[in-house]
Amino acid sequence: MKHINLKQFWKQLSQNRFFTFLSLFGVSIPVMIIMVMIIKVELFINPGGPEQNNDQMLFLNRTKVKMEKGRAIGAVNLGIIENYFSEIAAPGSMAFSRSTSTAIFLENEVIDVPIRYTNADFWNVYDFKFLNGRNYTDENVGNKDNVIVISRNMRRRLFGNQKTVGETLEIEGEAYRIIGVVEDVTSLSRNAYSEIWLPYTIKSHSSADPVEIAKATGGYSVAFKASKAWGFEQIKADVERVRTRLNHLNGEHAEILFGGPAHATENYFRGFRDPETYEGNMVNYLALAGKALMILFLPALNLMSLNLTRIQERSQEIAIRKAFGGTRKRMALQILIENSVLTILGGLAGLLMAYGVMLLFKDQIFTNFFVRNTDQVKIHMNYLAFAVVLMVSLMFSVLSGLIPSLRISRLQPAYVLKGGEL
Amino acid sequence: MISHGFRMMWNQKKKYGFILFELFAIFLVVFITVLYLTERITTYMEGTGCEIDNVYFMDIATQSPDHTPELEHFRKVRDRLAAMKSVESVSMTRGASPYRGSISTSTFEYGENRTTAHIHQADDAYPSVLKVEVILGRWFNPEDDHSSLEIPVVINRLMANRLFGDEDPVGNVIPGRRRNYVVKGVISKFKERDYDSRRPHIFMDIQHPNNDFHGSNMLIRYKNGYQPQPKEYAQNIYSVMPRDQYRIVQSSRLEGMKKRMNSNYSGDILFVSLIVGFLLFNLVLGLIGILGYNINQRWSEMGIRRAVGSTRARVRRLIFLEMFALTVMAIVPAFIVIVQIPAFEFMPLTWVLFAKAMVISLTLIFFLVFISVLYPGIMASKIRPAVALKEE
Repeated sequence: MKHINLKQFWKQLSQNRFFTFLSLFGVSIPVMIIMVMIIKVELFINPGGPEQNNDQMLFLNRTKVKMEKGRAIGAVNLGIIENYFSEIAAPGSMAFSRSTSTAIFLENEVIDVPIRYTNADFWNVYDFKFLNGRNYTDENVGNKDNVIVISRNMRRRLFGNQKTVGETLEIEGEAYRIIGVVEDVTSLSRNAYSEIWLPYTIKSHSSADPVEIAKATGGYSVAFKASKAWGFEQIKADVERVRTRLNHLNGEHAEILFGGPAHATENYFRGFRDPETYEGNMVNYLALAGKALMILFLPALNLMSLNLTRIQERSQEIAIRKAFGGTRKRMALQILIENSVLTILGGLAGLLMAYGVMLLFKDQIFTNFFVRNTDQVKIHMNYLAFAVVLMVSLMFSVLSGLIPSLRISRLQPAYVLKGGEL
Repeated sequence: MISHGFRMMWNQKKKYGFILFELFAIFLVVFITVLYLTERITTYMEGTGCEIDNVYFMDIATQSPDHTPELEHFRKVRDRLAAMKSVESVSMTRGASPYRGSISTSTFEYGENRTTAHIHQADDAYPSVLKVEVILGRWFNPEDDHSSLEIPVVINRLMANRLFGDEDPVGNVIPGRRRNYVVKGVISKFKERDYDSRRPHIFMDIQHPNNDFHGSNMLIRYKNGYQPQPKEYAQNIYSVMPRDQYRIVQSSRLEGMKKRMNSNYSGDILFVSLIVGFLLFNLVLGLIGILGYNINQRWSEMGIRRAVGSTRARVRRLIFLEMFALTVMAIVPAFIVIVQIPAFEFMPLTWVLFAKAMVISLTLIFFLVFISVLYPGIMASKIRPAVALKEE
């Protein structure tokens, strides 16, 4: 019996090519779009590379200062980091850096290169993979040594893959000694990405006036690495205490607010927005789910109406089978299985297409103002999310098949055979 | 005839329920995306008011905050660059180059009127480098009285309208907190970024002695047929500026900066268009499938219509009318929903934009429905009454 069902199913598919195509198309494309959407967000939240363990970190990238007239939004001020955060942070667990770009003059061209000024613990907090040499230490940073770490990509462009540790590079008119080469970092990794890393003390120093610091924004982003001794709650409480101290200095003239410390997910959703307007992760998840549902649901409506007409086409077949003793349950089950198989096929096709699209159009999908280097983006697949998406589209397709088939099977066979309609 | 079409549709509403709902939902989605795209594209089409091909950007900064930039250094650099064979003109600017991230604003008042404007610093050569169009008065130039305390400024038309209304802005003095500004001219338009909406802008004379100098960057227009020569530009810069005091922070073509600045938006626009395109394609396929089947079902009805004297054209028209009625039945409630949505506050929505988007989405939907009916409609009109009736 199963065998006959399968045969029947196959006949149905090949006889009604248009319907088959529309079902596959209406399922696979939405599944593809949604999977690409999900993977994109996932990769921005956890880009891997140095940030592979970022679920153990809390990020603080935004500061807002409200004054009597006007407000300022920016990154974190160096003075706050040096005078307050370094006091509360457990040893080796706070990274801070400022990312900017510079023009480097090569033999035949000028390239705009992203550079990042960091502290020494930056190398402890993030997991960089060193190909040669070492990172700079607290001593280097304290002495304002002109030492840099470069990426593999930079090494290739500057020296053509030769041994580079110990060489010097001229940046902005000054000579720097290369002391390490690290594996390339994807620019999706907003907190760690650069091509050149150098001690932050070289080009900046913080204001000494505590009152000025208390109401200042700056250019730095901070990452705290949690440990057993210094957990998420503790970090958040400590940062909040710093904020209270700063606001105490500010008195009634100004108020300072932090957009964090936040987990990588929240940090991504917060983006560069005003810390006060952030409405929580749930809103962002719901917005994503809403988009996904819309993309799944509209084609499903199409399938439902098409199913309705198709069932009418098959009403005679169903009536005959009923007349020969087929039960309603059986009829409904068959339609159900047919639709499910089609949906699963479409879903799998969508999964493959999502892979293909992400591999072929990596640049177009991931490039934006902050993302320039997609070479290191490692495409993965979230099968749990895929299962959920597939379940939802299965639900739609079962509904779309079940309602009309139940309606049909309720009718008297004789009435249908005579040409009666729903 | 039209009411007949509506009645036909109404009688079959059960059969068309899903497609009706789909049309309704898709019209909502299409309208909102068309609104978004129209807004983005009209904003983009306005243009920045600058011609940026053949312009190279070099940003110069001091080595550390301890060094103060000297105007004389920058002037010399500008003159050396301008003297190069491949260079047409060079302008010293601060915050006046398009496609840069940073923005500085301030509020200006004139009598009762006040407006917030983006502040830019530029020199006399600015209009010859970026080719901004001066529509009233003139750009500041060396003839301006530098002994006067008032700083010469040029504003854009929007700012002129906001501050001076119908009054002639040229020659008026805008009082500032610490110094006053005298309006020398008005330019037609300016924007920092393609996807920004129009805002008031004010350009101040960077060389005026009463203006604080905080350094500048160089906008270099190279001659047609030449390539930019950043190495030579850098040599000229460092021949004037000591390397231990100044550094070149950025060096790129404005075209490249524009591309990077726009990459966020173009990706979004492409993505949204692809999704809507897919939904519409799906709708067309669905309509064709359902109509094709339904026409088949109504074989005999069409036959009778033909037999009692309906012409082919009339039958065809009936099918089109039915679909037209179906679309209207879906769009009217959608329209009511759209007008209710208060969420439009998040967009700078004007009635012109709303009307534009409405016309475009209506045209789109009706056009697609028309396409989907074309084939089934023609098939229906070709039914020969005798054959259809005999089959029955």
